[in-house]
Amino acid sequence: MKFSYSLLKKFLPSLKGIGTVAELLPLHALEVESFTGDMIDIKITANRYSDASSHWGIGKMLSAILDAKFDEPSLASMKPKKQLNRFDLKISDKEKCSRYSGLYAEIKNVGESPKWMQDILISCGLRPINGIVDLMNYVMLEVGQPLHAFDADLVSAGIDVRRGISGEKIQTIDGAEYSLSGEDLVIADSRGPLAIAGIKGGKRAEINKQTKRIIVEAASFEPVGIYKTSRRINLITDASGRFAHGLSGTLVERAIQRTAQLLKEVYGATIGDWVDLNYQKSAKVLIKFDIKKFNHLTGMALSEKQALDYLKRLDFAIKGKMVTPPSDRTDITRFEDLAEEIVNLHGYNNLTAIAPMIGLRASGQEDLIALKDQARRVLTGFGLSEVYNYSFVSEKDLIRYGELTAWKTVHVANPVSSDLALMRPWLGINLVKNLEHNLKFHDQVRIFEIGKTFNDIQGKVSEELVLGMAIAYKKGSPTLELKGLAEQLLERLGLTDYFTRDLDTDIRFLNHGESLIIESDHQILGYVGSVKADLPASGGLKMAVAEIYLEKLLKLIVGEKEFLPLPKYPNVMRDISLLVKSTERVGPIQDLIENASHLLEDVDLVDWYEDESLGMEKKSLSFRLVFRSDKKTLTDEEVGQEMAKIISELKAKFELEVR
Amino acid sequence: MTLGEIKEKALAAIAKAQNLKDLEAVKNEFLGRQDGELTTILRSLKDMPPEEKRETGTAANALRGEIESAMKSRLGVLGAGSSSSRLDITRPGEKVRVGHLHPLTLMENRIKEIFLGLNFSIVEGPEVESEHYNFDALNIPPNHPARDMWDTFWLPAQYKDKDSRQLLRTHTSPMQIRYMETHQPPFQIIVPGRVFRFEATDASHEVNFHQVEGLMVGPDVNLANFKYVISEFFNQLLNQKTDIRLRPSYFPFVEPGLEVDIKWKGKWLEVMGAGMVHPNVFDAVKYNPQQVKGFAFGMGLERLAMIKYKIDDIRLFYSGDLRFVDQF
Repeated sequence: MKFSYSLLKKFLPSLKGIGTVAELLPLHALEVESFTGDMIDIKITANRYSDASSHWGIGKMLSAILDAKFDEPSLASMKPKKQLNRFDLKISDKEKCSRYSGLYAEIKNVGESPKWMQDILISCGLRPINGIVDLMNYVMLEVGQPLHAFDADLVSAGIDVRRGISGEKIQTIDGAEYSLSGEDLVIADSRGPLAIAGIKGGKRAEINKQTKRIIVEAASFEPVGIYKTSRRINLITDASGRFAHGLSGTLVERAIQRTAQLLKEVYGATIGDWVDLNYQKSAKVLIKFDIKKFNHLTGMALSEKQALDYLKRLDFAIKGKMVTPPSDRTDITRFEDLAEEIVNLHGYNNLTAIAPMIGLRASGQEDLIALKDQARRVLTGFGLSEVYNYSFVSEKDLIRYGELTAWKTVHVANPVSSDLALMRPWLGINLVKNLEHNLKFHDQVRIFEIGKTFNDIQGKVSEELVLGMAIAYKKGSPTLELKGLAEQLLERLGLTDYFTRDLDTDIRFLNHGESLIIESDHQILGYVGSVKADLPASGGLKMAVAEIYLEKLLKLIVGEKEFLPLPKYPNVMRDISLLVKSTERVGPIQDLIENASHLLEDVDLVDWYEDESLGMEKKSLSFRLVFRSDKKTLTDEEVGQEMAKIISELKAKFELEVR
Repeated sequence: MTLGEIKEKALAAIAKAQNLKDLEAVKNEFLGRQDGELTTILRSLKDMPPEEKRETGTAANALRGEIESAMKSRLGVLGAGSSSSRLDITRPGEKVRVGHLHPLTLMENRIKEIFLGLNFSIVEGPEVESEHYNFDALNIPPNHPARDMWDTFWLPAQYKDKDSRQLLRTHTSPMQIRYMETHQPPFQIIVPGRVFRFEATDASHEVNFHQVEGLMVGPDVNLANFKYVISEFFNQLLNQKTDIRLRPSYFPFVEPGLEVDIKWKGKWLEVMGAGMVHPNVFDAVKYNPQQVKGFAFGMGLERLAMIKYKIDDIRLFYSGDLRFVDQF
């Protein structure tokens, strides 16, 4: 909110320059965003509109910080009446309007405001309009109470503060038209709404060049109602902003008195009656101050006198240990609020840092956090780099990977843009985009991401921590590398027991013949596979993606490793080459070999090729078999018997030739 | 040539060799695969009678060993400064494939490490939150402009958590409530995590970013303790004695409320919001505000990373561009 330094100085003549204000305010009260010339932009926090959104309030604040005298302007002494002579004034909705004041005045002509007033308005970012409107704004700047002036001759009898009527319309002074509802509060006369209460005045009774007689309105409106209406009709004004934060009712009389005074002094107006309706002073706030409690909360060591002196500087009334804040300090309701005032004035510079005294307990981190850490260490060790993507995807992205209905996506009710309209159901969507992007600069790309995915599972949002990995090469298929990485990762993370099987679920972006589900303990832990090469955007690139559900994994991993004695006897290696149909898959053959002999320690596929020389639709598979016994050194003969057994089982099950 | 002649000539030639090429020539002459002198003898072994075969074989093999080791040691002598060495050690080392952690992970890891050292524990919370945890329980009233301090992404009205509308958490503070509901003081925790704000993106604003929340609660926790903990934290994070400045501020869930600035390259930078836990927040989790006190703080990971690594555009963190990530 913009303030005028020269107006502040009027209240506080001892101020030494705008720079001092900009330096001191942030250390003891409110942040200063910027300052230039006469303008200083102060960030009014949401709890301080009542007292601090005015030059009066900021002046008081500075006077307390500097312990300097505040020149309170003496206000016109006035007594309110219950009714204006010429107008019926009433409040139909007393809950939404806790005070309504009208001041009647006659002026010579509207004219222009004086230059000194215009200068201050301009410093505060307001545009001078005419003498009366400018005066209303000026008093608002001084006092913090929004005011509105009606041309009394354009108002029909019977001003009423009432709810809007559904379908009722009002044209505001800026020419816009709004439809009102029964939730809104309006100022109306017998002909209809004159203003949207607390938000904007209407065109009908607007001050104009011919205006001679005015009614000045100052009122207290219930903040939630103003907030809701201004949101609903999407009209946020200086006044609505102030009212929505909640203003003290005492500002009303200060504003009326100051307006009367200035109307007379500046424009030579004749001041008529002041009518004040429905005002009930709010109950006096009494807070017990306890210096022990204060020092306990802050770790300071102030004396009671020191502490209370700070409150006195802020015009808090003190009787013994009981403290009453000034009426416009609506933010002060409890002991901690007093403590804050004292700390702020005393200054954080004077707060000494003290190490906490606590009983020592082991600190640690949740298992899932530790698992993420470990996965990151393993994957960077494998040469994958970590990326962070948005938690959002676009509908367009999803369609690239499958029909929209195939996803159980969660929409955002108010997306910032269509690119970020849906919560990501799968990390892969963004990872594949990352691959495409990075292949412009690299021949091979290896990345991973750990993050949350979101799916609608039976009408509830299911949030899941997922690890995604993705690899792309400019040439060749990266899928087996990724499969190997996934296997190694699972092993490093402590998953000992899992198996893979062909992808059977409907994951449409994956090439089904080249994808596997990873399963353990009857649960799907994730999958690994080739991204369909015919995706419109893949440009024929070979990409592979894997995802692992970390929360499920956490429950299945075995923490500790167990030592196995080193082998006592040497192993014996045998290679075997098999000629099989090219449609035959390696998995089942290797499975059979692995389970065919109890002396077999390890089986590895060491060579694989398809060649014309092998004949039509054949391929050659070479396995290396490692035999070992833990009881003795195996002889050639014993190994030969095992090999024969394996070969006969292979032949029984598969159509193959041993080469 | 006899074995004796071979030995004599070969060893002399090796001693005379001035470079790798000379040695290579010696090797070819005596040990060459095709017609090296010694190779020829070795090859003829198979035609000899058993007695001679054993004798000659043993001697020839011994000689081969002798020649090879002489060549090896001569190579050692010549090798070092010689440009004709087989291995040019000045060539670049082989490229090792190295993966890089994202800078935000690095920053988060460092923060976690420091707070673990300060006896804080680390917990995390959900990204989809309810209005209750994100706002109400944190003393942020509905329909109050204070709530506008957090521009919120809402989920469609059909999603509810105990009658409370769901949203994408705007800060990590809801975890204060969740943690206190299930734990009793004293404790001290930090909560790293992703948060969301409904706003247009530019060089310093993102729709999602990361925060680290802190909360310490106990019978005697005070503001001076906060100043100690946070000074210690920044000293360690920035590897130097760091000037910090506390300033009054307002967050509905703390009282007194404040902000923390650090002095970095001669300028004060705002890096953290904090304060003493508001009694209404303790009420919301059924703690007795008369018996426990606590401080809470929150900081933005991106901001700290941008300061520390001199990154000028927050959007780079979410670009997925390895030219960025692989610098860290």
